[in-house]
Amino acid sequence: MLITLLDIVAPIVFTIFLVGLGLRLGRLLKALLFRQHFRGVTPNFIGAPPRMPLGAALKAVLIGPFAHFHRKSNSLWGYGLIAYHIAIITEVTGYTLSALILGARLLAGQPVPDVARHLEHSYNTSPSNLLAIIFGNGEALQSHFLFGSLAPVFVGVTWVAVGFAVVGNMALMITLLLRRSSAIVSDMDEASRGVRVAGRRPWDRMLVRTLIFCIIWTELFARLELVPGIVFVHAALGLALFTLFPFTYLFHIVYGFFAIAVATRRRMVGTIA
Amino acid sequence: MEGELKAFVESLERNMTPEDVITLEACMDCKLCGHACAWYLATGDEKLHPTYKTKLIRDVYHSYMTLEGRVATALGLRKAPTLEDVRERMQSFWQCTACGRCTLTCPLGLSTRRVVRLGRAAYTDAGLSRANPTIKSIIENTENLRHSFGLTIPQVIGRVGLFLQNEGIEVPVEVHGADLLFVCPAAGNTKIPDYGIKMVKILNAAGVSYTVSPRVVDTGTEIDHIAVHHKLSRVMLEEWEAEADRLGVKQILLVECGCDVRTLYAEASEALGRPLKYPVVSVDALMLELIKDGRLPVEPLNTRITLHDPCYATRLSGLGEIFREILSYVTTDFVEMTPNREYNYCCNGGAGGMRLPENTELRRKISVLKANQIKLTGAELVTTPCVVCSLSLEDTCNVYGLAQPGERMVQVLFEVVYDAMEQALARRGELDRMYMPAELIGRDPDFFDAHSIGGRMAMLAHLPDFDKLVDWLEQDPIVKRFAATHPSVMDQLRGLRELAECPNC
Ligand code: SF4
Ligand code: SF4
Repeated sequence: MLITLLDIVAPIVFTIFLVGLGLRLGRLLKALLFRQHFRGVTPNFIGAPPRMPLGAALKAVLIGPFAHFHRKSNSLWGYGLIAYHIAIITEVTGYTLSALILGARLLAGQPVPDVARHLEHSYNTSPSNLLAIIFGNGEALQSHFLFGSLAPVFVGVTWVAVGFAVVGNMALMITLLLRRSSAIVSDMDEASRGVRVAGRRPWDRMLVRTLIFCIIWTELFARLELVPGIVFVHAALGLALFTLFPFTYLFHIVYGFFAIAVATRRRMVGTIA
Repeated sequence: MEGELKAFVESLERNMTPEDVITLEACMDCKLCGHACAWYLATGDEKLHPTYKTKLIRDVYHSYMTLEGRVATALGLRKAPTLEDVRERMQSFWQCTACGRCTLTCPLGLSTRRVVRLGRAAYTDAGLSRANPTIKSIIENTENLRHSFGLTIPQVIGRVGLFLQNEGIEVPVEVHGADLLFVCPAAGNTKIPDYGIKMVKILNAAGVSYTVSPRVVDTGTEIDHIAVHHKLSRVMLEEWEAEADRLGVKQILLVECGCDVRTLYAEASEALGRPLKYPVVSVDALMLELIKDGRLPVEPLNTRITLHDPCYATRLSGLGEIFREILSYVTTDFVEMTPNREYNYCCNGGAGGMRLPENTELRRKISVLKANQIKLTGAELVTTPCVVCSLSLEDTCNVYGLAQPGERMVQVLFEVVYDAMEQALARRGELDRMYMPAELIGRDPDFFDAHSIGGRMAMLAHLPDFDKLVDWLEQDPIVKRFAATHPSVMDQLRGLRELAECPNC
C-alpha cells in the first residue's frame, strides 16, 4: 500500500519540488542578470580597515552569532542548533552522494537491490525502491550496494550524524514545545542583565520539526532493523519534506549558502551590515 | 494598485540588488535578530522587532514581485499588503537606527539594515515619508537649500564666522589647490557650537593644507541616511565632487560623523554607480598620522575615558582600531565598554533616532542599555568619533544621572585630541600655532581678504538682507549656547548689528 502510494506521489512531489526550486532560484538568477549590483567600498579610502582574511570572516559569520549571542541567551537552543546542523549537513551530503552513485549505476545499466524483497540484484527502478535505496543508505543492503568496501566507514560516519541529529533535534523540539524557541532565557551581557524575551511556537516550525523528528526516529529504527519496511515510511516522510521544501523556511538551506557568502564578503571589507 | 503603493513597489524594484533578493529569500523569520536590537530588548515591543520591518518588505516582495505570490494573491490565497498596511508600518522604519547590530546575531548574517534602507527609500520615493514633518523638512531643505536643517549659506558662514572671529581664529575659505576640502556635516555646524573651532585649531596647529567651501555646507548625511533619498544623495555627492574639482583639491576630508563615514566608505559607490572620484581621508586617520609624525604635539590626559564605537564608523565601516590608537596617544586611562567594537550597543541617535522628536521618549527608554554600559566602565568621560552619537550620549548621561548637572560628560574624539594638544602646546609655549592656517600664512592682504573668514564676514555685510541675518543670529539658540561659555561673542554680535544699521560707518 505505502509502496504503491510512493510510486504514485514521488513523481508529483519531485515536479512540485523542481518547479518551486526553479521559481525561487530563478529570482536570484534574474536579479544577478538584470538588477543593479552593490558596487563595493570606496577604493581610495585612506585609513580603511585592512581586509579581513576569508577564513576569519567566514568564522565570524558562522560562529559569531553563537559565540556572542545564542550560547549566552539560550544555550539549550544554541547547542541544539549546532548539533542538529552538523547532523543535517552530514546526512544531506550522504543522501546526495547516494543519489549520485545510484544515478551513475542506473546509467551504466547495473542492477540495483530490491529493498522490499531483500534482493541484492534486481532491475526494480520504481520510485519507491530508488527512494528506499537513498533514504536507507545506512542499512546493510543499500550501503553495500552504494559504497562497496567503504560501506562500514560511511555507516560509521552517519551513525555519528544520527547521534547528533537525535540530540540536536530533541533540544530544538524541547525549546519549541516549551515556547523557548528564540527566547532569551539568560543574560547576554552585563549591560542587558535581566532582559528576558518570550519565545514562540509557530505552526510551521512545529510541523517541520515534528516531521524531522519522525524522520530521524524512522531512520534509527530502520538502521537498527527494529521495524521491517520502515525505510518506506522514512522515504515517505522525506518526500513530504521535499514538498514543503521550496515553500517554507526550509528553503534557507539553499539561500543560506548565498547569504553566508555575501555576509562574509561584507565582513572582509569591514562593512558587516 | 493605488498610485502610492505602485510607487512604493516600483522603488523596491528599482533599488533592490541581488544581495537584497538573497536577504528577503533567505530569512527564516526565526526572530533571533531581536537579540541584538536595543529598541526591542529594552521594550519587548514586537513593533520594534527587526522583523516587524523586514516582514512588511518581504510581504510586499512576495505579493507583488514574485510569480507565485502574484498568482496566489490573484486567487485570493494570499493577502497582499495594502497601502494602509504600508502606511501603518511606516513609523517602525524610523524607530530603528539602521545600526546593523541585528546582523551579528542572525545565523545567516542577513542585513536588516539593508531592508530598512530599501523600505525608507520606498517610503520616500512614494512620497509617503513626507507625512512625517521632520523627514519632509529634511527633503525640502535639501532640495531647496542643500542644507538639511534649512540654513542658508550666509547663515552657516555668519554663525561659524562669528564664533571664529570671537576666538581670533582664521580658516582658509575657497583656497584653490589646497590639499584637503573640509565640509562639515549639517548636524555638526548646526548643533555643536564649537565644532568648527576645535577642529580648525587642530588643523591649523598641525599645519595642514585645507580649505573650506563657501558653496557646499552640508555633506548630505541626513538625506542619505534619514530620508534615504537616493536621487538627492547622488546630487549632494556630485556637488561635493564638483566643488573639489573647482577648488582643485587633492583629497576630501571626512570629518567626525559616523553617517558621513559610512556614506563615503560604502554607500557613495552605490548612489553614484561608480566609485567616488576623490580619495577620502577620515579626520581620525589624519589626526593619527599627524600625532605619529609629531606634527600634532599631544600630552596625554589623565582622565578616565571610555570609547563609544559609532555603529556607522565601526560596525559599518570597520574603523574601530584607529580610534583606539588615537586614544592610546591622548589618554593614560582608557577603559573599554563591554561589549565593544562591532558588538557595541548603538547610541540610538543615528539615522533619525535623535533628529525625529517623536522618538525622544522611546530613545531615552532604550538608552538604558547604553547608560548601563557607560556606568559599568566607571569612566569620567565618554568619547566618540561621531557628532550625532555625542549628542545622543550626552542626553543619555543626563537622563540617567551619569553626568553632574551642567557637566558635559561626552566629547567628540577630536575634542579629546584638542585638549591633549592644547596641553602640549601650552607647555611648549606654542599656543599661537592654532590660530592661523598654513594656507593663509604669508599671503598678501588682498588674498587674505578674499580667503579668510574675516574677509567673508565683511562680504556678508554687503548682502541686501544682512540685517535679517543679524536678526537671525541674535535669536539663534546655538549662538546663545555658545555665548553661555564665550560671553564675548555678544560684543561681536553687537558689532555686526552696528554694521547692519550703519553699513558705511
Ligand atoms: S535572525 Fe536572520 S533569519 Fe532570523 S528572522 Fe532575523 S533576519 Fe531573518
Ligand atoms: S538595524 Fe539596529 S536598530 Fe534597526 S532593527 Fe537592527 S539592531 Fe535594531
